[in-house]
Amino acid sequence: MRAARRLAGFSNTAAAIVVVVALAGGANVLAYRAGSSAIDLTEGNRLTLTSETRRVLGTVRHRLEIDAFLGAGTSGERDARALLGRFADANRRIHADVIDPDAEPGKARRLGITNYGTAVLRYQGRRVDIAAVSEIEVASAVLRLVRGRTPVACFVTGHGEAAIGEEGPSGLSRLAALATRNGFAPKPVSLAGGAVDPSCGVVVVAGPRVPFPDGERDAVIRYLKADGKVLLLVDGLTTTDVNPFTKPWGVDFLGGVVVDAGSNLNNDATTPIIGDFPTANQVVDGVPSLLVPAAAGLRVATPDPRPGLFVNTLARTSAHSLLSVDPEAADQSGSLPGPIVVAAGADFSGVRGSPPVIHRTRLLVVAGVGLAHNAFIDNLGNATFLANGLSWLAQDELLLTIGSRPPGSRPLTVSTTRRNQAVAVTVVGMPGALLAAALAVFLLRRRR
Amino acid sequence: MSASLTIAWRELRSYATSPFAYVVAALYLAISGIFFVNDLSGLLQARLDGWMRDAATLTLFIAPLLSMRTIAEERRSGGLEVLLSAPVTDLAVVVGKYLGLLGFYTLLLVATLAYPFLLARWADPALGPLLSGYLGLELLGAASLGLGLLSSALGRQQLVAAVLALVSLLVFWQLDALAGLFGGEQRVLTYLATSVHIEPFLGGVIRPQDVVFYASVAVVAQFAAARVLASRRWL
Repeated sequence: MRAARRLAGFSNTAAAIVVVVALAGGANVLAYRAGSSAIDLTEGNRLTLTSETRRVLGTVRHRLEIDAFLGAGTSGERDARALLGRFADANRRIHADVIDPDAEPGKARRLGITNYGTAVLRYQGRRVDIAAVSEIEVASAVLRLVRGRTPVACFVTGHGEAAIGEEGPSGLSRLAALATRNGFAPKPVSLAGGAVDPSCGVVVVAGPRVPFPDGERDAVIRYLKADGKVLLLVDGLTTTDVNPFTKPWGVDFLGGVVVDAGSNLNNDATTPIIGDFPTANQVVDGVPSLLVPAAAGLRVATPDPRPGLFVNTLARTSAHSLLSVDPEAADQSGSLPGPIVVAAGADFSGVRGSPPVIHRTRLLVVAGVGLAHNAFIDNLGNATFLANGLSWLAQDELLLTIGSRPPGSRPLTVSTTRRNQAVAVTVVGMPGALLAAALAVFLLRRRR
Repeated sequence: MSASLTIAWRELRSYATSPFAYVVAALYLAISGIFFVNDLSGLLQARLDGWMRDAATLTLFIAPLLSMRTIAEERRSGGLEVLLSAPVTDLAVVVGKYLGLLGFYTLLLVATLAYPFLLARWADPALGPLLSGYLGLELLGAASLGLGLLSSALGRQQLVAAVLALVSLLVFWQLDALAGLFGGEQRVLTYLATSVHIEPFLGGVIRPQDVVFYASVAVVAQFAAARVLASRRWL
């Protein structure tokens, strides 16, 4: 009888505990699935993946493995673990691991890892290595893996264009880095051979200053006609006639200098802040505004000049602006009143050949190269606009612009005086007071 | 619930008149203070995540010390039988004792607010990660005290209860390290590790799974402790 009662009691207890554990397990599964609804209390939501990163991660359809190699117990290891955990939370097909190369030298050797901080991403038999485990690097690597190709962004040289290797304020090194982050391989190209390098996925003509020789001009025109993809950044200071490139696609380059009294930087009317994007084109997706110093003007053909060609005004200045031939002149009566178009996109597609093949030309014209210069590219939405533009030209459905979000600096100086204060309060004062209280309580209890 | 609150209040008052509680609190604050000062020496930025990581580890040791007496000692002294003979359920007794413990632990954490106050005098620490960090420490403490209470219910003597609590807390803390030994179950084991769930809080992120995990450990442990108490009727 006693044994039976024990058995029944034990069974009831075990069953009740199993039910409670199962309920708790269910609650945890639900909470785990809701992982993306975390509350981020860091400055600027630094530890939350950007919407662009999430969009990229959403395209991962197969198992993606990320192995980061970092020394155990370091802050880098902890940060990488937290970051990769967020990637894994965002898409269950992503399996991330942080490995100590000293603890698991076999795995490091097998993957050919020789440096701390390296991460290896593998997807569908493809592999990308990155040298730093940051959101930008990892997301860009995922983008490259998912895309399965790395389009070459060819930066034309030889006409006074800024160089992608130039680090100064007028250089394009940050634009090149942006292109790399977004899955492109930037490289300088010359048109001296009379043709565009066939490996170019996108051609960037950034701020030519002098006229193109006939052969080089014809090379660009031919390239555009043959399904070319061109990003043309040009301002009114140029002597290059870019209209042979743009006119066939419904965009006229007007030159001049935009003077915008309504929206500008630090009361400099020739540095307009542009926030009017009268289009649903993905190039302006997520772009709050643009800062385009010394912007020139464009005219966009309306209606679309021929079947299959769609021309979009992407960005225009405020109604208080004008396009001036000489902004210093007192008389601006000959100026074109605003709003002035400063960015336009042309998209031409058609079916040709037998068997029929879809052909597509895309041209993105920005009347101002300053927004791409190192000095301005990180201002407002310039980087997003340019990254979106490159992705649009490369016919990527994905758009990715990931900015780095370093934590706000909160410097602290710990002098000897402050350290002594800390010791006095935290190590001596507070515990000492409690010990005194313990003694007092002890004595009081004894007296009773 | 009112019975549980009455028991919790009685527990808290008993801490106020117990020299042992003051000594444990002094010990906690002294070690915690040493961690703070050590961490401060290497700081160039006004942040406390390093100290909070140390404080989380310290919780593994303080929780058994605080919880070992709750049921084991009362059982030894006969106080438990008196309590259980009152018209309250076993669960109400366990929850009351647990809330008392948690209240005392919370007071300890409140005392450590002196650290961010000091930091705020000298610099401008970000408030968000401090708030989430303290929430994480509170939740970790809640889960740890739950396991400690369960150990106290299982152990016949205080020392046994403390050792049982310490071992179980250390095992839960290190489960992610053990995960490597179990191929397919890695994710589950890693998820069950208490150390894994504290990190996002320290970084400034409050994730639902971390909150639910700590809360469910605390709830399951209290429920199990209540069932252990109930077992006296059929054992």
